[in-house]
Amino acid sequence: MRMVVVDLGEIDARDCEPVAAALEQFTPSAEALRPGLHAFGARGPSRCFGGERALVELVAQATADSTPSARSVGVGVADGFFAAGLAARLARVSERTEMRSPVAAQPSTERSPTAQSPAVSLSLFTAVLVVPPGQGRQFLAGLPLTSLSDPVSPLYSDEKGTEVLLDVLWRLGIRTLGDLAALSESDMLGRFGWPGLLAYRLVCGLDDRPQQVKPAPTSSAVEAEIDPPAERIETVAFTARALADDMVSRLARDGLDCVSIGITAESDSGHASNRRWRHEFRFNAADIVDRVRWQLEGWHRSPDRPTGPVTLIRIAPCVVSPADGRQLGMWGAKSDADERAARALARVQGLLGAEAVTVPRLAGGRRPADIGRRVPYDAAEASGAGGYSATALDGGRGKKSRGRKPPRASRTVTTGARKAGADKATEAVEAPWPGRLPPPQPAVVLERPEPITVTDCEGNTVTVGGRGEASAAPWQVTDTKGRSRMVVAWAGPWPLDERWWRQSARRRQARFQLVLDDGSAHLCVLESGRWQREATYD
Amino acid sequence: MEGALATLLPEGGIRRGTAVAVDGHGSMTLAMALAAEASRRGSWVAAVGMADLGVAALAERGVDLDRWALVDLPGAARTGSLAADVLGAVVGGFDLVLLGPEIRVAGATARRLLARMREHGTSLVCVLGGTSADITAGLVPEARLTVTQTQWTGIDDGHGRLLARRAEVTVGGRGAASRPRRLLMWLPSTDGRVACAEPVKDSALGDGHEDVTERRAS
Repeated sequence: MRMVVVDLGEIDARDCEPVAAALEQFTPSAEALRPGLHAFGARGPSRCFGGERALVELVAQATADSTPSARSVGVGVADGFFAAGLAARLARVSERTEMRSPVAAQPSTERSPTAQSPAVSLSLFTAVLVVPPGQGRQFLAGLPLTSLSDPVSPLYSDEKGTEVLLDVLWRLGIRTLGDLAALSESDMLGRFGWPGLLAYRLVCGLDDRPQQVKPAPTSSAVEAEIDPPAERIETVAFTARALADDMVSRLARDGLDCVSIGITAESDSGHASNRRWRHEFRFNAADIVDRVRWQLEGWHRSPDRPTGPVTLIRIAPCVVSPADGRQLGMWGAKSDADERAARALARVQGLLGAEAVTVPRLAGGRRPADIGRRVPYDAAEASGAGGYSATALDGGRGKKSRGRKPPRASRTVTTGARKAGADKATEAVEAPWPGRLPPPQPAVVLERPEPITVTDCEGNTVTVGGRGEASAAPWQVTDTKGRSRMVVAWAGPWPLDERWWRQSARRRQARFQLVLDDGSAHLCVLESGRWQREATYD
Repeated sequence: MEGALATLLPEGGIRRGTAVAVDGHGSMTLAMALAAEASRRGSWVAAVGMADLGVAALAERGVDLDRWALVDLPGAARTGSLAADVLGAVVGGFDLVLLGPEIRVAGATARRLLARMREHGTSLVCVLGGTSADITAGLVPEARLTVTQTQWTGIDDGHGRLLARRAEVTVGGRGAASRPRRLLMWLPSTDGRVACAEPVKDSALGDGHEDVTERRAS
């Protein structure tokens, strides 16, 4: 199936509505994968607009006209969604790097389309790349192996599994998609199971799930009237969450996965927004809620924005495919308690906004605020992060306290997870990070560090010289409100010079641990002459 | 509950559906240790209104970060009906809730919240963070753990580093906890755990105080 994919790169949900509107003049069934990545079938529209080539140029022009700022647009056409998506990506990137260079202007259709063939620049910021029918496999052969984890790939949503797969393939000496296509199908299935087979079919230019996709049963559409009408997007999203749960579980009961949905929102003022969204793999409830949020954000910014609150939301599956029967792991399945917590958090998000709920995750870094971070709950849930934090914890501890008693409990989890593969996050956490302060870590890390004054016994501010020595022993600490405490014990200064290779990102500080006369202990930092209290060992 | 914390709490742990308050320098470490215990047994924990919670320390206490959620309450939402709604939702979905220092829930709301906690078997740990305000006026805690007299080891005048903290924890409260007790603890110890410290050398404690460490030793 010939597909057209329009790629705008990373774009805000609010800015992609004009693009969706522009594509509507070519086809009623344009689908968005995410803001900035739109797709539709080429066969129908190309008959109406004078052939594929003409259609693509019109689409590229319309897209470029409707994008808010000077951003590069890539349009790709190929057999199947995967190849078309990569073609669009390639067109956009090559357009950006070779902007206005004469080589880029040569038409590519005469040559065989390989990864090196430049896309055709139409205007300053637009480029198209058409892969002739039947040549998808040759086109893909020249692309690097990492293209399999591109957002247009069906393997994209299983981030962890794909990373393991790509890692193993890389170590087997496979560098391009062509290398992979040269293997045999049965070997790929035997060694890597279902994901391996999918990857193999993709690189051979066989469209993902070609014949099995079919229109959805109309009965599985869900809708809800919102009463009282919702002024805020969060309120709609909360309602949508329940609808999405309902729809996904209903489809699951029939053994179906949903790859494309239509979302309709109606407002008090009689306006309606109608968009189709496609998922590279399959929708779960959280994905659907995201799409609802994106669509509403865009709608509220568009020229025909609703003047009244939202009164109705409808979610209909457009295209479904048989569920492939991937089973949840014996320990990966969600328990009742997990579901209960997820429901409570969805309710809180409805009250306070999506960004109010975060989950703690370990990350690499030297300062306390870098070691432990807060990740938006939605993002963490989508990536299905599980297990790595336990690994990270023990890994970090093991490194820091070599020779001490091995940590308890999750030891087995650690070795198991480590064997499982190269998890980049875990790697960053387990890296030694020289310069990091040893445990204990401060229990309170201030969101906004508090400015303080640290003086020596003569009343002069304590400074740290170029050789990393304190000018005098810290004697007294005064906060912004003028309250002072005596220092009873101190240690430091420990210098930290991060990212010295880039002037704008460089951070140079001297850290002290100060114990005050009320028994509290603090991590205080001197950075470009200013003292700050960064954390407290509470 | 693990050894040290079991000795600390009157019934060997936090009873489901009740609240416990922690106070003093070291209250955050103590609250994290209590939560870590629950987390290790597979409970979900939420920390509400604790924007300054140290995530790295959380991991160090042995918390399962996959079953931990942080809910930020903006300044304006820390009192009043929005706070009550948020707490109501959280209490319905989590086994243990940590409550930050600046959240106030008034009389009737607090009673409803307590009823909801009992219904769902959710426990609450209020971190008072030195403010020692009467936040608990509505949410009468079963036990109140106050960290007094902390002493850091490993650090001196210009050398060493913070290693471990010896702290005295006073337990007071209602019911089984009504008899005040004291306990010496490591918050944390050199291997990152929360543990009982050695018995006090000077055991001349005030009247009405029962020295738990002594009792355990005998």
